[in-house]
Amino acid sequence: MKNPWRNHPAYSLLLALNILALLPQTFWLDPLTLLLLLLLWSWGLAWKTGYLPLPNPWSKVVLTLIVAAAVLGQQAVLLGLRGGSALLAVMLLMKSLEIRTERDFYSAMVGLFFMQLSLLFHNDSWWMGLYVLFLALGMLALLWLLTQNKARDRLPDCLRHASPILRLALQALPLTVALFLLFPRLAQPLWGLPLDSTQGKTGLSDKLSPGDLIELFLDDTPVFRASRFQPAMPPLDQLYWRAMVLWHFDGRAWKRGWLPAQARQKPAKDDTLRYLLVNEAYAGNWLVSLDWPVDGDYQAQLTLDGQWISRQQWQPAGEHQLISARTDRQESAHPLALSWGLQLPPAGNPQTRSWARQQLKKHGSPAAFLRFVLNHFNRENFYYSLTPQPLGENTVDDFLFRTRIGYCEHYASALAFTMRAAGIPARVVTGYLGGEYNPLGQYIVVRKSDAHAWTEVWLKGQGWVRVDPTAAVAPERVQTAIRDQQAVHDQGMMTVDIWLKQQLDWLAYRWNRWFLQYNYDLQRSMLHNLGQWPRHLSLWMLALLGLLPLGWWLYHWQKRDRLLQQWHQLQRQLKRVVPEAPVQQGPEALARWARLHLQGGDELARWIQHWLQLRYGPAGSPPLPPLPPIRRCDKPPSSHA
Amino acid sequence: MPGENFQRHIISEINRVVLGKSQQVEQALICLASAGHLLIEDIPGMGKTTLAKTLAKVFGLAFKRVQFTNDLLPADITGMNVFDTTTQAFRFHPGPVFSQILLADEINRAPPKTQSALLEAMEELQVTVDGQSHRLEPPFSVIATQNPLEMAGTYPLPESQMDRFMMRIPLGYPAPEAERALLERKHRDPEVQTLGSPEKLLEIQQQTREIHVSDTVLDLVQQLLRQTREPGRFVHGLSPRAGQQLLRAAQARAWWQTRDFVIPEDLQQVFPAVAGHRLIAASMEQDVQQNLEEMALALPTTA
Repeated sequence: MKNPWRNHPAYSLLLALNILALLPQTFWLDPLTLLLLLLLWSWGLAWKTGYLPLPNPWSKVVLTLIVAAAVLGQQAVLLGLRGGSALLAVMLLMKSLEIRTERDFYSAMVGLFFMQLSLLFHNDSWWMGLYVLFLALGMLALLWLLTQNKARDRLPDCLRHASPILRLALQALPLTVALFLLFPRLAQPLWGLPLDSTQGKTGLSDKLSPGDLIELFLDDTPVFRASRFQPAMPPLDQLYWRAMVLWHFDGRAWKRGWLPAQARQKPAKDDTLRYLLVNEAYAGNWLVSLDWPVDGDYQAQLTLDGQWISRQQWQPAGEHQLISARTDRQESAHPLALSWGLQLPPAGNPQTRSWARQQLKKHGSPAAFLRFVLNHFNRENFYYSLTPQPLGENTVDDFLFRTRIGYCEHYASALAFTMRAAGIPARVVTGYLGGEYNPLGQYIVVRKSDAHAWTEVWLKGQGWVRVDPTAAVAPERVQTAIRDQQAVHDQGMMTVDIWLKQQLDWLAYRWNRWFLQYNYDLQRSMLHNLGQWPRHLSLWMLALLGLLPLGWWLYHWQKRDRLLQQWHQLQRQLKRVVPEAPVQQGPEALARWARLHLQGGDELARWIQHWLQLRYGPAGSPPLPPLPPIRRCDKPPSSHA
Repeated sequence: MPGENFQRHIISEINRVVLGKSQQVEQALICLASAGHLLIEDIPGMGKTTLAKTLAKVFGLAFKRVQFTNDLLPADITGMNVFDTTTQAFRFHPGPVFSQILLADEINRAPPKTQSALLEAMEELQVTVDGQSHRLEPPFSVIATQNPLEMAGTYPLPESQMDRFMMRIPLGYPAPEAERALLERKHRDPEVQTLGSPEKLLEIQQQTREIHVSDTVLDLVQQLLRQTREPGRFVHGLSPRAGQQLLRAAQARAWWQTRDFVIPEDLQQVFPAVAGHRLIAASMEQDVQQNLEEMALALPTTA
């Protein structure tokens, strides 16, 4: 028997949808897996075009094992997201190589649906959403094709008449929106996405050694967006987004530490700055807030040194209402902070140490010494560059007295070290600086490339003071880019690419806010704002879904075929008493058999005749009598057959 | 149901003479009761003539037999106008077709013109000689035979003409016991009793028409027709006329089973014989008859 799926247009569509669902995976799957997937897919194509047969059952088993092993062997994390996706893709393609029955086809389709959905696990941006929506339309077309009697038509001809699909999809749209908005959401997800250890590496790290941030400067991925500043948005060069405080220096790297949590204080009314922060998902237990954080709805602790510490190592996309103090830093001197702030490795960087002590003596007060160092950075031949020379063992000495080329982290680190060497508490803070204003959505987008490191110095009487040494060397790093941007905006001289970039970013922002972050809380607040009825509607929807199976069952129970049930009853009883009874035969044949093989078979045969009469005869027959008792013949069957 | 025993009597009387062919006898009786024509496909000596003769005798029908040869002319079947010298006028001299059961032996040996003369009689119940139509009085049934093996010098019936036959059945070899009984017969075939009459047969044909057909059964008939029209099985599907004939045959079978309504098993039983000669397999490796048997078996009997 020839396989009918080979020339079926649905198989062509399945192949096309398979490759379309694989296409985005080139972003995250490794080359070997991709090659295997492509080979498997080509096999399907080769079968379709008649160059290759389908694999036979044994080679299928072997092939499955080999491919699965090869794919999983490539993965760093065996059951991570990537490994799972790769395995799913492989199995899906294998499935399309063993399509014989309609049932096979449907299982391939279910797998494909899941794979399309899994694309969003890797990338939940708006364009991936659109892409998956497009693929879903393709799946609708596939389902539609299967219901049409078009086994021999060519795919393009079929799709030319596929307008009902669009109509159906549009008709389903209101229900989809209603379900999205109203279907009850859980406060805690039932399951989490496994996180590959390789993912989320390019973000701020809780360790900073020379050269660390360079990776970020080249990455334009948005980290978060901020909007609705109240009372007003500060100038961009004042936006120091604080993420982590690095306390511990080991001679090369600065490591993170945090002080105990502080009681949330209320700053003076005219000193507060309220704003909304919409973040993308990222890995890490730190949370960003505008310097200096006072309060906010982060599910985290606010420490004395102005860090938000979350209990989770993974921050989902979300939006948060935050409050910062504009001028009053309110940081109390914690004894731990003063001892940490002076900590230095026992040896190393001798030149800097002695230079710092000399200069402090020369300038007298710590504040004057700080001014001197910043001036020193400014006047001497210090340069700002993203491609500095490598530093030797004594990184600070090397930087201050030899290379004198570096970027924010070099300056922040050098300044903090110098201060400490002079006996002034200091620390390094990492985070982001500025951002890009989007006039469309009136928000600021902060990208990974906005990463920044600066220093905070403890000055008696002033507390911890934020000092940005980079600004001393290269004010343009801090200001020029931002000023240019504002100038462009003010003069209405926007080039097309900036305009396009802003449009796209605005789209991404909306997608995040309206779609990705629609969760339990948002749903609750939305329903709350709308009043009572939607909440009831939501409950009703849940109840309705629960009742659906019941309704389905009731409908079938009510419409059940009484006569057919009686027939099944006869079959069951007969089978129980006489296991060899030919119950699968037609009623007449069974009646004939009963006459010959059963005691009182005539009565049963009459009952069957009556049953037939009721089922196929003209209306108006008397109701069926109860099933006569079925007894096995004691004697061997009479042979008058 | 009038005379429940009548059916059983007829069947057992025929089976007394025609040994071991109860199923073929049933099919032939179905054809007769639904005023259809029967095509028997088998090699000579399998009892075709006995079956035809017995059928005619049991109903007391006028029986004629024509051996078809390649020089047989239409007039040899229909009859001809002969000049009568006493009356000085042409007088129609009726041919063998003016009978009630006509056995057309080896129908594929005659040239198409002769075949079509017979087929006109079958379809229209009339013959035309020299522009003059002569009606045949019902009941009238043709039992034609065809030798499927000897194809040399034959004119196989085209499908359009095969359609005139309600059923095509093979006779097949008898079962060992039946053959033994046949060999042990001392004399010629035993005389068959006449149990019915031509009027009775007309009455039966009317009764079979009135057998009740439920919607479910009509659905099943349509399902079968639709299946034959699906691509991949046959070159073309069954015609609406074939569907009518299928239903008529099922009704007749129900009548012979002393039932006044059609059940799916009736369809199962008659479908392969009714459809077999009207279809051509779509490819060489497919067997029409086997395909039809499978379709019949797949029919739900308690739907």
